[in-house]
Amino acid sequence: MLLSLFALVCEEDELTISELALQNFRCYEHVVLELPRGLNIFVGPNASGKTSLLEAVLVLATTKSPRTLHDYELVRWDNVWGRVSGQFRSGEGQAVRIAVTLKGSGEPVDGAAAAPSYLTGAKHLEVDGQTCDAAAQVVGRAPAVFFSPDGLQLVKGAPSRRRRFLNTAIAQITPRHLDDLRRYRRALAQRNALLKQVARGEADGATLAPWTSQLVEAGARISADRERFVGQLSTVAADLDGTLTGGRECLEMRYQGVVAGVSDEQEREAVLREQLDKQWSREVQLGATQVGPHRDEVAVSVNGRPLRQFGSQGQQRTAALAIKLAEAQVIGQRRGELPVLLLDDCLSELDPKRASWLLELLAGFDQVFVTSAVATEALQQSNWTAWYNLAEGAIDQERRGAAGNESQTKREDQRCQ
Amino acid sequence: MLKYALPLQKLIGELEKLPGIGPKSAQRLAFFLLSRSDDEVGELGLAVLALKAEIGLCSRCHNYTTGDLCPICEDPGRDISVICVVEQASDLMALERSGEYEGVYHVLGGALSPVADIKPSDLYIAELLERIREMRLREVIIATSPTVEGDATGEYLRQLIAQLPEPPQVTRIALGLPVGGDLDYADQVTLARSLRGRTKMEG
Repeated sequence: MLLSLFALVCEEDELTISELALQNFRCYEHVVLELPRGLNIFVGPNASGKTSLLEAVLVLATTKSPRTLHDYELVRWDNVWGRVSGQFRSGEGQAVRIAVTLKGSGEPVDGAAAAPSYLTGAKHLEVDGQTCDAAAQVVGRAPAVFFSPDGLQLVKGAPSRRRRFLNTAIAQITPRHLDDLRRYRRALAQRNALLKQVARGEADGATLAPWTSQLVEAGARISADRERFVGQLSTVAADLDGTLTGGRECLEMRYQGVVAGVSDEQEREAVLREQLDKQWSREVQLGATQVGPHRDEVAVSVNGRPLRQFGSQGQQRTAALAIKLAEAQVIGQRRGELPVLLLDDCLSELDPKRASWLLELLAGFDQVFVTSAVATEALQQSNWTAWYNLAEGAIDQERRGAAGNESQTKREDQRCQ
Repeated sequence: MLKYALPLQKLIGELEKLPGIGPKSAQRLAFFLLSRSDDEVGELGLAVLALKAEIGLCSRCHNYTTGDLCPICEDPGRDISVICVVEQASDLMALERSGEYEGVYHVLGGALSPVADIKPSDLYIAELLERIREMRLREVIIATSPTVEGDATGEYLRQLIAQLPEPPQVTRIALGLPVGGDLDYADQVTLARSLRGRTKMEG
């Protein structure tokens, strides 16, 4: 079953990051890494900068960090600015360079470390040297999927956590989704402000209609995208979870939105509008829009029981991993190229059997980054193409060809403090 | 700490309020002005004063003008059966530069925004409806920005105009691809929107 899933994407194009350059990013002052396709393994003690490398790749893919909502935290402490750039290649040899420059928390001291002049705001985005005004111009160029132990929150956390997951995943398939989300949030803020004004008698309820129209238009598209994605995700995640648990468990994901199950776009708009109209008096009372994609939820269950409340920690962990791996595969199916897979410290939580199963599965991806605090046997015996030892401010890279017999060692001149 | 003389402080403070001017630029501009001759600085001062003293709003379309009516409303060659509705006078100028439009305009003075507390009564909407009633229009072109606010304002106007007796046709300017640009270089959001707003080919 797993093999057949990969067959859907294997013959298509591939995508890899061939070079990653960091400047004042997290603990790195300056580092340039050349990255081969295949399995890249990063081993080093805690706080040696493993996660930051994976985080940097995700920042290039999505313009955002999975670890923080505050971009300035990505910049090396006390620095005015930081930058991450990467060269991505397709199988056909086409290359694209993405760069993200970020404003840091440091104050500029005379002359020394002033930010580049193009950094006028908090963040500057570039594709092939061209400034991009909107994230939608960058997201989707080079998709990546990041999973860390914190990914457990995907099943355990609040619904907003799962909505955020959907937003990032779908945006990497359809960048237009970001524009829909932006317009939806804007319309929601305006509509809520107006609802409060109506409640205070400062505005006429009739002026609500144009904002409802804006909300409904973007909202119907968002819910359609989400329902389609969750449907595809559920099938793949169930297969992966089944394999991880030896077929003992049946994972199910269901999109729960106010317009779930309606396929026609105009009908979706009509249903959402109808639901909003029904809530009208309650909405004025509460001063907030009560239905719509901002209240969506994805129900995750195992063997028919809601996983969030009734799952064991172990069940939640394997389900979260299965869902993230499924995300990567669905993105791959929809785009015709698999995303770069970033697995941060995930093996330590799996028993040896599942760890080696996972490593086998990873062979189906074009490029995978795995971090671990310990060089486990499963890792050493895996079919890696590059092995990085991170210690005392240096990154040692060892490479070997596909056959696994020739290898060369290279020391990156860099500093991680 | 050493402070600037009061007039200098005041000027820096005023300059900082301008769009795109930060504290550093404001200081540089203020010191530059201080170094110029009295005549030169006087010219600038007079020009700034004249701006508000001599320029007002066109009594018909609310475009900027030095007289009662703006040059477009005064032009007998314009087609007064079509009104193009824009948010700002600068939008009007952009459309004028295209040289494509023969009708007249109506400047709203902004777009609706409950968040910024901009209500219908803060815009020249009642004036627009009055003009439509009086002029027996053929068409109203909504040319507000393609933002959530601009679109909502356009939708609001459409609903109001539809309630008038013998309402004119209401159209919305098309959103689409930049001319001369290759399809594969257009950004995906623009492409997605122009696909949604596609028009039927007549032949």
